[in-house]
Amino acid sequence: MKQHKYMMPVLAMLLTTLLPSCKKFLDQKPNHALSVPATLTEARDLLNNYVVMNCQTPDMSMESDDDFYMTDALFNTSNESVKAAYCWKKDLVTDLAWENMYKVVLTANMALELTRQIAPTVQNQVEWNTVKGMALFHRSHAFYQLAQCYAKPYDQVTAVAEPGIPLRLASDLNIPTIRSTLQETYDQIINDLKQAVPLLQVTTMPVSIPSKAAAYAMLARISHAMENYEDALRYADSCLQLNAGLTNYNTVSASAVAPFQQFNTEVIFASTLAGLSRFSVNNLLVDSNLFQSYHGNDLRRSLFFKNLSPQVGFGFKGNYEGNTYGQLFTGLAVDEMYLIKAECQARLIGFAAAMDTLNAFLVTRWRTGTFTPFAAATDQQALDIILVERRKQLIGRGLRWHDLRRYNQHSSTAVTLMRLVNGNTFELAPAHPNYTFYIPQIVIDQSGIPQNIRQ
Amino acid sequence: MKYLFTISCFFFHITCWSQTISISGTVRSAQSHAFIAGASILHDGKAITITDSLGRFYCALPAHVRELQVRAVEYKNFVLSITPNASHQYNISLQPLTTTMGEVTLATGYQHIPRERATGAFGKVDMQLFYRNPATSVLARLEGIVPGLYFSKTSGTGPELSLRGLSTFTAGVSPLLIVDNFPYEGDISNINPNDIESIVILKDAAAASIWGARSGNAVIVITTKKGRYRQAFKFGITANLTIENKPRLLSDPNYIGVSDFISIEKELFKNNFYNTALSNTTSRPVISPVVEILARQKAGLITQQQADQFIAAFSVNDIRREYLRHFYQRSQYRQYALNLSYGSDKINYFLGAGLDHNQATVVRNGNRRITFNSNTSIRPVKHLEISLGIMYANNAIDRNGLTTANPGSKVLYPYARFADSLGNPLSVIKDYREAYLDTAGRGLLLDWKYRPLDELALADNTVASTDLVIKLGIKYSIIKSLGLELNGQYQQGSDITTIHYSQQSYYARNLINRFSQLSGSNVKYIVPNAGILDKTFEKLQSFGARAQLNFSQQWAGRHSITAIAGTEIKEIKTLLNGYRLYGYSSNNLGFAFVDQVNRYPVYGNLSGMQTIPTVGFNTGAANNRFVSLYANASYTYGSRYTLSLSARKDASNLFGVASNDKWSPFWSAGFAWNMIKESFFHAAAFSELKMRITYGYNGNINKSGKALPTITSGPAANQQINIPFAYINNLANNQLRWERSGIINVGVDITVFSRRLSATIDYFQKRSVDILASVSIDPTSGMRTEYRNTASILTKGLEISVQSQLSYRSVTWRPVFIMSTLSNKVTKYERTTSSLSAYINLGYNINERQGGDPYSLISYKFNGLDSLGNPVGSLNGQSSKDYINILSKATWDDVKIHGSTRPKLFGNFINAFSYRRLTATVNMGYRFGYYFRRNTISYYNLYNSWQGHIDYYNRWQAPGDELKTTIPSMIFPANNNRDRFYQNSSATVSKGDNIRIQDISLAYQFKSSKSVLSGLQLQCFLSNIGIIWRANNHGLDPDYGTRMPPALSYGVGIKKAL
Repeated sequence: MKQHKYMMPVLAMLLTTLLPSCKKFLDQKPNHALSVPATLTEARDLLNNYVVMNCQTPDMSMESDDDFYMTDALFNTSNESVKAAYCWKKDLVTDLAWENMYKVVLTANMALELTRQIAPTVQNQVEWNTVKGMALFHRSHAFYQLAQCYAKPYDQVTAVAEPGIPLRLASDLNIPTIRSTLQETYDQIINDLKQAVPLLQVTTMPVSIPSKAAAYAMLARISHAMENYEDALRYADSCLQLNAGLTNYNTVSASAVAPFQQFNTEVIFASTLAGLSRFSVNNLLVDSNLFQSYHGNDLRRSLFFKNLSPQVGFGFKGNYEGNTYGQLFTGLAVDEMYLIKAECQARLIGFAAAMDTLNAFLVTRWRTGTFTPFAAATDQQALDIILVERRKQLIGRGLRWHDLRRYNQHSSTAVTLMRLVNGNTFELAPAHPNYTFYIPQIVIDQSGIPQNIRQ
Repeated sequence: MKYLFTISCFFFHITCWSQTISISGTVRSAQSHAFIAGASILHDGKAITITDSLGRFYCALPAHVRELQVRAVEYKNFVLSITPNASHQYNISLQPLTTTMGEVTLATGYQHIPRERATGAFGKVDMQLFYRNPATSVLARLEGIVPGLYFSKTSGTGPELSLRGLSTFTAGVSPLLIVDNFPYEGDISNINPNDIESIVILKDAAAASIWGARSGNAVIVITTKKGRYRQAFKFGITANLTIENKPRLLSDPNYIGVSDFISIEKELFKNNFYNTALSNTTSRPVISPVVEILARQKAGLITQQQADQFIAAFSVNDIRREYLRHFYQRSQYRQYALNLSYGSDKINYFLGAGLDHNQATVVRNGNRRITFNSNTSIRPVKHLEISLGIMYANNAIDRNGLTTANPGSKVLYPYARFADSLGNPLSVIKDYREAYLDTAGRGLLLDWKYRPLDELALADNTVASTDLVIKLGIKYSIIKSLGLELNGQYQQGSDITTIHYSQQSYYARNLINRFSQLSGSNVKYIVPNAGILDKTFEKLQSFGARAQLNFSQQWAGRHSITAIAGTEIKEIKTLLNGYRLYGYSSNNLGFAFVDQVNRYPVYGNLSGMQTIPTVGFNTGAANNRFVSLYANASYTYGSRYTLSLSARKDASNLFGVASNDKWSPFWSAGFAWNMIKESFFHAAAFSELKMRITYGYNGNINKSGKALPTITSGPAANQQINIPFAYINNLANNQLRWERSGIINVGVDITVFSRRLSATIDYFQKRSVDILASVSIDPTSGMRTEYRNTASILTKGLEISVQSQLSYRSVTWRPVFIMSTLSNKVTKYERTTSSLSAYINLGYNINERQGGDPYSLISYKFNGLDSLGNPVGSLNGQSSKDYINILSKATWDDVKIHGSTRPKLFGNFINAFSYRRLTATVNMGYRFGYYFRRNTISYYNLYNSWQGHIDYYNRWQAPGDELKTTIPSMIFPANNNRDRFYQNSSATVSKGDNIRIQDISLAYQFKSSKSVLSGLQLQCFLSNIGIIWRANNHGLDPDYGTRMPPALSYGVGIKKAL
């Protein structure tokens, strides 16, 4: 029985050494692919998620704009939401666009919070800057896309009173959702981008990563949408100084299924629609008048369009994302900067400078040796030519809706949209309330923010 | 066989004396009155016979013998006096060796509880029934012999076991499996059923809550065979051959005849249905041979007569017969097992070895499993016992078989042939139309045809699975009433999956061709012109250690306390790695690097530019750790009243350290009253009457919820742009806790009429709360949903098990009747879906709808066919044919809730009849009170995917048919919404109720003692016999969902028990 005397102390020792080490033992993370984000690398990985951060541009504005039309057959087999957006009906579900854009905002906020937790040091300064700049850029990009769908077009006079979008600036899900004013929305977007400019790399590889050029391009696009043409010109210029690489369309093969390569030289920042068969080559039918407006020597006639059949007409294949299944490019590219610059020059400086900019760009779109520079006699003439070329170049980029909202602010440029579906005609008058979409009902239910007005 | 008989007679004669008397009888336990198998009958210390599996013995003795000894393991020796001139029929009762423990004990994985003192619902599996089934897998042998254990076979990936309904939405329903004291983390199919000693099912809180956070789905405790001290060398053998017939494809309802199929194709062709596909010059979609001929005829390339001839040649084909001839075979499952055991004073051991060699019904599928199991215990000094166990399994699985040769997303046309009359492999259409492949590549590309028979011969897909478990146990009795037990277990398992596409395989040829670049007569291979190898390594490592104090003391003959307390630590690590090699050659193991970053044009513009596929690449690692404290005590007063208490607290690394401190422990309390021991109880008919009541909590581990914000990182290769990325899984939630089930269980155990009839009845109510469910949150936060402990399920049920043993002369009838009722209801679930269509499906997946059965079957209301054969549904309570809106906007008025797809009442009735040494056992299964959805014809799928269904023949064809049939008319063009509505309407739902003969076995037990045949048993076994009564009149077996039930299987075996 002697040995039993030692048994209990040994056992007690065993237990007492075991228990404190428990906490350490249980600190192990359960799934190695899962992590609680804590490093700049993780923040950057989050921002580098192409599908989440770059490929979710809202598509209901593309359903509603007048770049393309659907056959009745396609319309009849489409879902209710597509049909409603296509005919500008009052009720349509737009939850996905909201969710996807605020997912970008959340990811950016999480990355920004990490930059606040991790102090910049000499070693990590470049990485730290890049992460912060990328996060600010992505958040602004998402806020801008949201503002084009869920808030009214920008008007300098009324912006302080009109509701904008909720500006979520932290990842905590307990923060109440409230609508900012339209002015606050645009101020936030512009200021974040301005803050991002000095932080970002001049150019990036791949171009899914925001760069300094992309930040300028985005500032140009937004200032342009706000009709702040001075700033738009300045930013477009700044962007073109960093990246002015136009593709000579003579080097692009018209026989290819998708003529343009993903991340081609003109792309400044890649972003796309989610990719729906609705937007695939065979389903994106271009209006025959618009197609006929491309000159026979204009290479875009064969690079942008595919002759599907004499009955069906022409489908759009000029996707800068380089695919045919409907993941359309909606990002920033050099061509858009040329067009913004030319337009702003026509509005602010004069037709000569504007036409020079336009012709420098257009020569790369025509068959070599066939291009005669476009000429204008007045600023207005120049502007008219430039706006026509803007439409012809930026078709299928998701920008038409933004342009329509801007044009409709002025009776001289206002456009009435028409649809003919199954023999019925639908119309969307200029500045109609349906240019702004409903906020998802679940957001209204859970947060109590005011809903948009549609008819 | 004859030879064996001769030998047996020879031995038999040795044991015979000139003047003999014949004696016979039975040996039972004095305590439980169960028959004892393998008890030895000795004369002067020499064994003359042993009892059979029903405890019976028979022997011939010299007339002068007056005394025999009866011995059985763990029983006291017994001396049998032979009375001359009596009947020589002796019914012997043996006293258990350790009366304090009681002989029927229930293993919980932590302790052995005497059945007499158990308060909880324990189900001890009848091992005689378990061993009657020759199945390779342990779990398959449990089917139909355990009350309350439900086997769901609707999924096709093997049966899913569940006990006592649903207690979680996302943590899975499978019970926790314990093998020799520790949870078995590997693949249970690696365990050889021939090595198993006992199986106990822990059902209620008192039984299972000792397993804490993993006990919510009940626990199955498996104990492998062990040696015993002071036991002579023994051996057991098993050899089984089981054969399963080819599947009954000819009775598969998802088929329409060749001539009908062809006439539909002709009709569609006439209606220009194929024009888009025929004129497609990019992706070259598949065109069936008949349509190809019709197109050639239309283009004037062949005459009408030629076309008719070609097509007529097809009409004698039948794809089902092709499949049966080339893809299926009679399976052969061979099973061999050897058991050895021995025990001296200081050491005992058990060795088990097994070989299972299985050829499946699918040609070139099968496996070869080798198992080895050893348990050794030594007592080096008094009070100390050390035991060491090693379990090893190696399973080599072949997965080369083909069950279909379907092209893309279509079903192969019914007139396909796989071989010509000389047996040469023929090609069938796979991804592109045949007419294109004939000319593509100007002879420079690799052959692009798909020949199923060649593919079957070339397939090289294997899984090598190994599993090793090492168990070490030390038992030390400190003082008489207090013992210390230390147990450790290490398990390591690995699965290596190899998929090798040789250069000749279609998969490799197709990929090589798609990326080939032709210029002049040169071919540039972007994908190397060689084979492709996909390899996946899965590794599992687990380690567990436990220190436990056992206390047991009796006072004054009336009070008795048994208690255990311990602590446990456990880690489970899993690792996953996978890669793909291009340019692989199995001859020299060479491979090549490829560019998986840039996009390359696809040959012939079959699609836009693509990168070389990056499938097969995989990495993953998980690490689950647990630390637990537990205690269990029971107090018995006067062997009448037993009170049991148990508690356990689990901490893990799953929810983060902050959450670990918050949970209340899992606990249970139980009370049992042995009425039979009361002095006032005088009913002589009763030999057992025990009431039990328990309450307590079991838990589930659910990995869906996370306390801290987490992200998942993906490797660069997994996104198009080839840089590393991550995404957010969840935001912070520090409110998470274990899912819990509060279970009340009331039970009674009765044994009456000299133990001829015994019954166990348990009623339970389980309230599962804190179930993790996703809750909709404001999407402005960036997340759509979040997991929270919000949902609840209420489950109620009754489990009855009655068994009897009635003998008349040489005939014994041993019926076992088991029955369970079960109802599940989601009592709380806060999320609602916007469209009812999410609930309308086959009903096999968990449906969280509040107030409903989680396995509800819900349909669109079917209001008959109209006078044109169109199905009529309901929209906003009105009859409607607006199918698209019915599908998206149906309200509760427009749908019908049929009931559950899980039976409300189910069980088995097992009858064993014995005549002398021959025993026939018939197991009948029954399931009542449930529904299932039948497949039916979808014209949209028929036209587009070539999928037929026998309902085609009963369709509406002429006005007036709407009175006779519910199957819609065939229309051109097909309306997918109309078909989807009908498929999901109440017209395609039938009652599932059925009674089936699950299996029949016939066993013959040899009697002679000293012969080599001693203790041998010959057995025949039939299973999948089929349904003998069903509520549906479509001849369908609802338990297999929309799949074909397996064909009859039959086997023979020889066995000698250890």
